[in-house]
Amino acid sequence: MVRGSRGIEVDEGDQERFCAAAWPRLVAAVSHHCGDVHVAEELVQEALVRACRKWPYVSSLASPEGWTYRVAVNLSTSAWRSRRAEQRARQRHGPPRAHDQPAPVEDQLLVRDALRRLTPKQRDAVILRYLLDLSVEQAAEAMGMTPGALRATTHRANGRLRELLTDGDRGPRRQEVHDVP
Amino acid sequence: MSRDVHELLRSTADAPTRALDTAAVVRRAGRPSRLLRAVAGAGALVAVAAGVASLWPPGEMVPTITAEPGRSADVEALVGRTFASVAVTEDGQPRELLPDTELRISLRQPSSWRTTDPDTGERRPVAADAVATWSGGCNAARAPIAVADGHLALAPGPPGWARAGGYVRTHMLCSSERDDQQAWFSAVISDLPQWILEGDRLTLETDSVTIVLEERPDQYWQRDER
Repeated sequence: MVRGSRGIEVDEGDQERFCAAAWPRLVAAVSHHCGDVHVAEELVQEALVRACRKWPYVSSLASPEGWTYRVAVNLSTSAWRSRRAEQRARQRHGPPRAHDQPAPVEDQLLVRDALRRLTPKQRDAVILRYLLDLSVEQAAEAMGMTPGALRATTHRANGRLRELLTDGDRGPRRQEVHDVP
Repeated sequence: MSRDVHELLRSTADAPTRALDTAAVVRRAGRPSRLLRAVAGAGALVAVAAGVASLWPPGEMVPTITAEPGRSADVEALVGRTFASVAVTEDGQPRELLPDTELRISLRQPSSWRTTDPDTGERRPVAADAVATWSGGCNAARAPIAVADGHLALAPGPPGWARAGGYVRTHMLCSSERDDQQAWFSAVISDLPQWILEGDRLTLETDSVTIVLEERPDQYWQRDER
């Protein structure tokens, strides 16, 4: 136990366990959001630092992961922060090269293209619900919405995804997508 | 094939390319925020900057190296080569490096490296004779190297680099011991050492520190850079 920045005792072991468990899941989620795994790593790392800094509050939430995801996404939408994250990622990994990461499979390109065509709220709702496996209530809290509004947003997002991934103007249908109740 | 949204999102998601040092994340969270540190240190920085500005000639961001003529390595002989430490001494005593760490330095042609000016956002090639990349066991740092008066020197980078000590660095979180070792090595590089190349052996030498490095295969640096 150590005393946090506001004098509240926090368990560093809890924080480390949370970071270790959340790291791969959040990198997966944020890389779907921003389209680059290296930039996602920079954003998630910074978001986890902020989560630990506000640990008494974050740990009391229904989903600390949902809160941290929102922080990472907010960082990515700040032009300056996003540029800094990209610069650091490029300094670490150099310019994008074919062997830097596995070549995106066609499915990944299709999914990311489809996600980009959703509204930001629809995209976050889908990622929180179906990639981070948050409940409706947890996702709604993370996004600052009511559960009803979250359900409606997710429903519209699923409809749009189904339309984009199974039909659209890119050619033949590749996937058949079903709603998850 | 029929797949639901859940499965499709999962199967196309990226995995992290590196492990997270969770202890370092928690440690950094316990420190005051950058803004607070910046405010607290602003007065000291102003004083230091004023002192440095009064010592350096106008327009010269980094003083040139002061090696004895004929002793400094030719930059062309260093470009394209990677070296790793085999012996380190400080104040005449051997300096123990942390377990599983070594000091590495590599020089490359600058033509392939473009950088973004942090003030203007402009992309521009680095004006230098070579680009040095070094690591003290944690992060990697880079700076342009130029021949000045027949000697090697850190060359001025884009204007914003002056705030970062004349080099750029990665920001992976590491243990405090590794951070300290990285900072120590960067300080040695910034202290304008003599670069003495004898065959496959490179010696970096300042008044108090001597680092002997041996050449490694080119792939050596890449093996665990990520």
